[in-house]
Amino acid sequence: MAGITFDDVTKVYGDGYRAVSDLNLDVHDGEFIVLVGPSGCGKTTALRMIAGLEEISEGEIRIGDRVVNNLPPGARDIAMVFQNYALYPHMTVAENIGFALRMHKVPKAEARRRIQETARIIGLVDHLDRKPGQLSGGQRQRVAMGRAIVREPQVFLMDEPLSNLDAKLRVQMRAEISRIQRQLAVTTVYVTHDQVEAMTMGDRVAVMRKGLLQQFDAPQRLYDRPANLFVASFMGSPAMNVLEGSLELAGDGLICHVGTASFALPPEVLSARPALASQVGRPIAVGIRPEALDEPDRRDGGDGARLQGRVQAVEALGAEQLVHVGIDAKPVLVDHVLEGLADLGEDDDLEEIGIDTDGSRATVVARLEASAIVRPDEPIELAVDLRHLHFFDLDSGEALGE
Amino acid sequence: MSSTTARNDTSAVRRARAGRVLTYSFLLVLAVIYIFPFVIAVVTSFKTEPDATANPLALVPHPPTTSAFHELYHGQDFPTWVKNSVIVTLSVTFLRVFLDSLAGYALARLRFRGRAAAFATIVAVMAVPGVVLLIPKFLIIRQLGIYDTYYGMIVPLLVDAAGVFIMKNFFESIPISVEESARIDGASLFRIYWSIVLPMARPALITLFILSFQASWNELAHFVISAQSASLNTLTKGVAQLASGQLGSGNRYPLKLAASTLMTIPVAILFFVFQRRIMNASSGAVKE
Repeated sequence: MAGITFDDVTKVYGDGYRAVSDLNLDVHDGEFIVLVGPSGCGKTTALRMIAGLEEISEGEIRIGDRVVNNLPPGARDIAMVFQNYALYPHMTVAENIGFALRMHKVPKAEARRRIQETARIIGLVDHLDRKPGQLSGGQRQRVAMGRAIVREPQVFLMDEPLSNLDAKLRVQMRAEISRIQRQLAVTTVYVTHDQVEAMTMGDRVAVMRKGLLQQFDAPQRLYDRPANLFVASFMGSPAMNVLEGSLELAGDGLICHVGTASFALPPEVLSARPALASQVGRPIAVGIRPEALDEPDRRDGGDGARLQGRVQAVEALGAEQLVHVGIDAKPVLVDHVLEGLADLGEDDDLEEIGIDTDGSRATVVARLEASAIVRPDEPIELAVDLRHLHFFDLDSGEALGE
Repeated sequence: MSSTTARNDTSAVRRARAGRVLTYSFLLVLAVIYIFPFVIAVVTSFKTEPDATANPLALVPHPPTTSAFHELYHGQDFPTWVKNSVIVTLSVTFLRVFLDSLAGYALARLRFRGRAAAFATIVAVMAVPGVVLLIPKFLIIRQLGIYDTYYGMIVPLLVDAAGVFIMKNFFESIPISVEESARIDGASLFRIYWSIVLPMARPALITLFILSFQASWNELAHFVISAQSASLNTLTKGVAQLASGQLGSGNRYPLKLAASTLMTIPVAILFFVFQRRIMNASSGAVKE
């Protein structure tokens, strides 16, 4: 087994399109990393460069200590699971799983043993004689996994392997792939555009946008400390509310203005982000996660920070409800934010934010308990958890104050 | 009110039925016109020569006889023609399917300089009528020293533009990820072609097989320009020589049509055997 290293890897296509720019990644041995980002961000290209299905324009990829730039895919000791499974339709499940072994001239008896063992891991022992056409989507997905597992490769590569499954099966297979990966401890690179898969499966997650690595960190760190507006908007569902605001000096402290509301920032926020003080007087982007908004009487310890607004819509999800609230504040609609949102498939939210592009009214989403009594078109007051505010530079989108 | 509706309904139904009868009658007439020559050929092969001359369109032989078949077998080189046709057709069909699919795969998947030009040329060849090429072909076959040999009859037929075209298009419809998966599994290019792509292309291969078999079995012009010995006569050529009447007396309809009838049997069998397979495409490779 081995780690994977990207060293200033760049991919430029024949037509001059830069799919990946100066990518540096260090994947540890046995680690499960997820490449995530909207379509066209270069994640699949990066994966295919590891596989050897795309040539590397510049830089170096190493698997273990071996530079693989010029090795053909079959010599890289990797296995790949494709989005459409790419099974061989004329072969049985056993033959599909065993094809790579046949190619590597593994003795028949051993091949049979390994196919059996693999079938046990993926739970298809009874289906070894079937052809892919006779299997359900989930079973085909397992065969694709089995084909990778049986190789006992140094690296698993997975290209959106769950995107063709229905929602329920996807949750189940998510857990299954994680389990198998832990059991085999094979270094894994997993590509997805689904931030939930990224959050739940990866030991570390690399967020990409337009061929550039945005942030490479543990999922919780990405969520808690996004490096920029794009990562902030992309990770988390519903997405982070991003509003335009400004800072004002008040004695030793800072006051944050968002629309008509003003919050005195607690000392621990300032000490965690000392550079915030230099932003006084400039417009900035203030990020508030939906769970940082709550009913006033629930948020004790209260800094007294409040947002006033009017309920526009309520989505009751059973365990909680998502409340869309129109407030007097300017939404931040720069590309970083919109791109992050668009790929979540939350077109409705985008539209709601986008309605008021002239910009004095924004819609924020609050995650409230199911018991909260909220009705559309009624005024509402939301308590803001100031310890969980995020601050970004409006122009560059970079997180402020770190 | 309701009675008028009912009357309207029945008249509408009647009109629809009349239309249907008319349509089917028309189709039936067409079908009969198409199949009639074949029926006449089969029937005539069982007629005596005077009967065939007197009643060429009669649908019942009077009296029925198999003498035409006896004559064909004993009085002509029929067995030699069959042998030659079988040799040439099988060689051409198998090699053509193989070579067309190789060329089609190369054009569909390999990146090389001049690929587009090569494909354009092949398509252009399809537009040239075969007759135009007969004399140049003859000259080249002579030049190569394979005139009047099996080589001369077989080699020029081994690849055809339409077959390459069909195969290329089919290969392009196979998801590339299946081949990439095989590459990662460690398969060589030829192995991918042989073990993955060809089996997936079975519907196209069967189609091409039938087309090639039928085309080379029924080929005449090429055999006329590539050989002259009687010992190299194929069925088409032999029957054509019967038909041109050089063998003497009478119109010899029963003899000629007996030969034609026998000639159609292999192609007919092929169609019956494969007709269900043609439809049976592969599935399950990928999830769309």
